[in-house]
Amino acid sequence: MTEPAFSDEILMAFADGELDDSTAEALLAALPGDPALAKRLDLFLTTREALAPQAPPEPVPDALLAQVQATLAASRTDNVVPFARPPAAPAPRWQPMALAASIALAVGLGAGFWASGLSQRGPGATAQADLLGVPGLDEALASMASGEARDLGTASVTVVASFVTQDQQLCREVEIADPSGADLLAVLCHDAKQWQTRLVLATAARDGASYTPASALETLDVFLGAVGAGAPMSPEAEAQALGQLPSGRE
Amino acid sequence: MGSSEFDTALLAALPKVRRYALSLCRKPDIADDLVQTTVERAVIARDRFDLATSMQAWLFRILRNAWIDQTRRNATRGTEVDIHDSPDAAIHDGDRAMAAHMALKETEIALATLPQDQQDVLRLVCFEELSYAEAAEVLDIPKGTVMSRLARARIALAEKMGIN
Repeated sequence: MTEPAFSDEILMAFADGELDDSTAEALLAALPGDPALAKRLDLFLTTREALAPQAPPEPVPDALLAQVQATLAASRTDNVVPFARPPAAPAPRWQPMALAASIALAVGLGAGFWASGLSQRGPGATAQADLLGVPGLDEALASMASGEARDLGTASVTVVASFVTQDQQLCREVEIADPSGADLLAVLCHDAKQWQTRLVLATAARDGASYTPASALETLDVFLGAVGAGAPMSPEAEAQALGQLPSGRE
Repeated sequence: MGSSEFDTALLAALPKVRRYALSLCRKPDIADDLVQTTVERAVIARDRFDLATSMQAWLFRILRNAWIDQTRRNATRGTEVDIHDSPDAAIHDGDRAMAAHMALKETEIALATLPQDQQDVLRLVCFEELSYAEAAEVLDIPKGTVMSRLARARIALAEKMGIN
């Protein structure tokens, strides 16, 4: 038995409008003199017709449409949402992160922010005399409980949390708002002699300058992972650790 | 592709996407969940969508994969869907019950008795009117496989329907 000149697939492609022009012309030329060929082609035309949709699809139910539109709308703003600090529960932010690349990035960014923070705030000031250009900050760090806010004159300080790094340094996360406009988020650690600024991030600019708070907070998370930050300390543990600090100004 | 362009194309394809979902899972509530899952996966992958290709075929592919994921999970979890929890489930559940429902068109009965892979290509090309290339993309098989499978399916369908 010889292979038919026009295979089933060729006939089907013709019925479905997918056959190339030259083969289609050849088929059309052969059809009038070949009733068997015409009958085989008819099978593909008939089956296509039998399965063709009888009506356009039903409209999408309102509830589903609303859900889909909400998903689309949410995806348009997603580029800023994922970095937002989750409400409450600070615990997950302290998880050490495994990605070496992220750590390297955080350290790099941290150093950059740190340098710019210092130069912004107090050219010539020594870190210890006026930490972050805020007189009295070192004493505030040694005495304030987490959650407490205090007006230091040149800036108001809120201590967010305390934690211990993998090197057993006591660190405090603080928010600093000063009258010049910019809010800072800083991490300062005590090296057994004095407080050291470890990270300074601009978190808001009330004058409208374009910092990106969301990514600053993400940087903080990565930084905390990089220094092996433990979980935020309980008030009791914090009070005990602060009590054991050597006096700041000897 | 601009985000509004993407959204418009997606919304335009939605009725057909939902019809395809219904054809796969046969229950409106499950179909709607499947469509929503599809949209969620689509927006995550929106940067990978090529404007030159068919949004409908792209969504069909995502939907079919989501459906396969779901049925696979259900299979490993045992029978989770109770056919009695939906009044019309009985007529939709399985080929025999479907064939027993006399109101169904002869074509649908014949279609339901074909092997699943043949039903897939028939539905996508003849009912959903996708091109061979688009059907190949949805099913993740070569275009040549779509054509040979579709030709066999058409011949089998014609026999069952008494054509020729």
